[in-house]
Amino acid sequence: MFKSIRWKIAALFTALVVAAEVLIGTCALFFTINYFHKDFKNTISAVFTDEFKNSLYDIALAENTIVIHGDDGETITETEEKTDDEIAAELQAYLSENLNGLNLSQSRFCAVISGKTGEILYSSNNAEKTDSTAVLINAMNGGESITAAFRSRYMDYAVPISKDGEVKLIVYVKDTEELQNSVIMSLAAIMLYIIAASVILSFTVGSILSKSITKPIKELTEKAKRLAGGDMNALEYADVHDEIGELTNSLINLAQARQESTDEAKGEKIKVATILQNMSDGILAFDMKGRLTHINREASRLLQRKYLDDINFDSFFKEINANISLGDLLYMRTNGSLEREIKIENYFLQLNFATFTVDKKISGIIVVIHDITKQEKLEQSRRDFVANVSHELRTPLTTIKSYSETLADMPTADKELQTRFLDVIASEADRMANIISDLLTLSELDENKAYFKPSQPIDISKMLEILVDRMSLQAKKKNMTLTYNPITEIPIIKGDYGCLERVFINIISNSLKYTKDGGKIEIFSSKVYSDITVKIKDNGIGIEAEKLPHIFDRFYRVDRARSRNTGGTGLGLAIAKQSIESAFNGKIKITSEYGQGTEVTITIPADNQ
Amino acid sequence: MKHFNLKMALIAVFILINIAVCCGMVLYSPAEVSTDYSGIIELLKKRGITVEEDAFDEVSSSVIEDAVLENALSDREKLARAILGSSANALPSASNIFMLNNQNVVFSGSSFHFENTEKREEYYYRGSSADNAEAVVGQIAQKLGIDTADSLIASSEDDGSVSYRVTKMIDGKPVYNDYLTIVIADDYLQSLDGIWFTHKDETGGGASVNVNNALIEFMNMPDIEPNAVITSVNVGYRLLDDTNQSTQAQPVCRIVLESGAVYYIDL
Repeated sequence: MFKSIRWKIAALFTALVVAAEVLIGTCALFFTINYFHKDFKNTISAVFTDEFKNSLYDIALAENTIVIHGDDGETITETEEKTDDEIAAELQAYLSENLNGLNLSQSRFCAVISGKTGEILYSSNNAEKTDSTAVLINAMNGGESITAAFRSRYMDYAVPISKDGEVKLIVYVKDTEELQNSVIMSLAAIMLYIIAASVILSFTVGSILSKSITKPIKELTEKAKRLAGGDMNALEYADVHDEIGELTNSLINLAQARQESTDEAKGEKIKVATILQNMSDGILAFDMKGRLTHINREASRLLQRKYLDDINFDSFFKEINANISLGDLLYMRTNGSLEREIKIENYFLQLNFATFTVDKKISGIIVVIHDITKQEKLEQSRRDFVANVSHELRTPLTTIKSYSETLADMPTADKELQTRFLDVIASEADRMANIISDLLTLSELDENKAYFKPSQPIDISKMLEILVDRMSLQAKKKNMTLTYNPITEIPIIKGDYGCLERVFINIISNSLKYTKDGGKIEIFSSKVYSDITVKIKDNGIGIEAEKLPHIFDRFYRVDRARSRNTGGTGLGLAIAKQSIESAFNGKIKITSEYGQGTEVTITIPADNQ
Repeated sequence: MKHFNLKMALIAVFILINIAVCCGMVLYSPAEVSTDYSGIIELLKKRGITVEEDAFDEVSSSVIEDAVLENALSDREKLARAILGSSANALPSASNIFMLNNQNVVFSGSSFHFENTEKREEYYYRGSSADNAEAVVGQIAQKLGIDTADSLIASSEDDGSVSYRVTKMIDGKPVYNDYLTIVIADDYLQSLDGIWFTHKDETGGGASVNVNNALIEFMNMPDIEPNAVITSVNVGYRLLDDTNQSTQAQPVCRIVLESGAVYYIDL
């Protein structure tokens, strides 16, 4: 209860009021005491004037006159000292008449005291005895003095009446401070009543006043709690511009700013989550205990795991042979990352490990998973291609080198042999030239250079007719029939004439090469919907089913020995496919049945302008 | 914290006020006792009485309470048997005399007197001296069945004998005529006498300690020796009547003269 600011204010208020009252009361007491002391001194000064004291001396020191009547009728006058009692009686009479100004009472009395014995000879309050105070003793020693000390229990004054250096009597006034003490006690009692009343009153008033301060604070606290709970309507802007009003408005502004930043953070979170979920890379996040805290869809797909929630960093990456642990990452330099490559089934994955920090402390680990399967395959193709090119070029080069060395070693060889050797060298050189030519063509096609060649109108039917006519002689040599059968009329298209002609020549040449003597090669052309289709069909040796997917690979040969013998470079079909797809936006498809024959279908958009 | 300095200042003001009040109360409380005796010394000197410089005791209280005391040794038989032995009995001819083995304890009013004539084991107090007064007095008090805890022990040695004077104290003030005297010679109890009244309660009355009054009264006494020298002025008590079972202790001022004369003046 007393932790409340209300009671603290009330208590402080009360304490200050009491303190002020105590101070005032103390001052009042001191001033009162001082007043009585001053009053006593002033009264003594006013009464015991020099004239008054001289009168006292006169009374005390006067001598009795004794008149003696002699026998002779002579009258003799003599003087004698008065007794103390006589003087005291005279002084009593005198003082009784002249001490009205002293305000004598029971507590303030005036006495005539024997200077010799200290006994009271006369007292205004009939006291028989009085304490021998310092003032009285001083008077007995012949000194006049007054005491009205702050710490004294009484106030007194004594004036000695001496004769011949001997103190005969002392006029002594003493105030036992009864009146003063009575006033002080009354004053103290009043002060105590006032303090007691003011404690109650000031505490009541203080608590009421402080309530007027704390009540709005309490209400504001309740509303602030509701506000913190998400109730944005808990507070309304205050019109009153006092401290509470300013605090209310500040709280509203704070809450709004907080809401905005929360919304912004939420939006950012959703955005990041969406980005992460839709990234082409897989993302995994772990905390410092190795627990998975986040995973996106791509990561699940690439890691081929449906449930990854309960995985642990070390055990998981050990399981997929990533050869990494949390410890490796914790001691890694700031902003650094580690890279690992793994293979899971047919996927080649590159894993990038990095730590993230919050307040300069490592808080977790991010793992980014890249699918590098395509790059790996491309790289493999490139390696194969280089190996193939090297191999294909080395074979004729070896032949040329061996034949030329043989010729050099046999300067006396007959001319026929030399001619044969030189023919072989020439043939191999042609082969190399063909390979290089084909490679250049492929390179151009890869770079889409062919596409940019000036396009010409192409009448495919006419082109096929000419080609059939040109190659029919070659077919006849093998007792083959090469026929062209246009099924529908084909529109003229635009494109690289030479390129398309080379494709048809290549395919028809392959049919001629791999069809046995007496075989049949048929070429069909038609326009179906918006596509022009050219089909070249033979009843040759056909291609084994498992080799069909690789038929368009560069330097791929179904039968390596035979192909080389027939002068092929292994690049023909690759060039054909690249040419149709790149230069004509078309498609080429090969179907074959081993031992039965092969059918090549080329489809080109008719509107390929 | 906001307004910290203000709060601290208020607290400081509050403390200062209270200190001021406390100081005021102390200042206001009247002086207990005046210790300035120069005036009375001068006055006495004029009357031919000299006061030694260190004659005055330090008086700490302005009022001395009246007190009622009772006789702790009222059972004469018990006391006599404690001193003489358990077979001691009063003489048939004199009930105030108890005797055993030619040794006697004589009672007079509340006081008693024992004079030892035999060196018996029960009267042997080994190594008695002024230095171990408390121990010796404690043993004898235990034997007598009295408590001497609140008492003043004065001791003196003289030619093989040690005298102890055990004076009863009330609130640190001696009761001048309530004391035991023990004399031990050659480690044997030689004599034991005195009275022993113990504090019962206060009467409710009291007297203000005004040494000046007492000295003036002393000064006015007719039989003061000429050129008297006061060596000691003390405040204490005197038993008003030591013949009864209980009696009142009167606050007195004891004035001791150089000649050895002692005056007790009622306060």
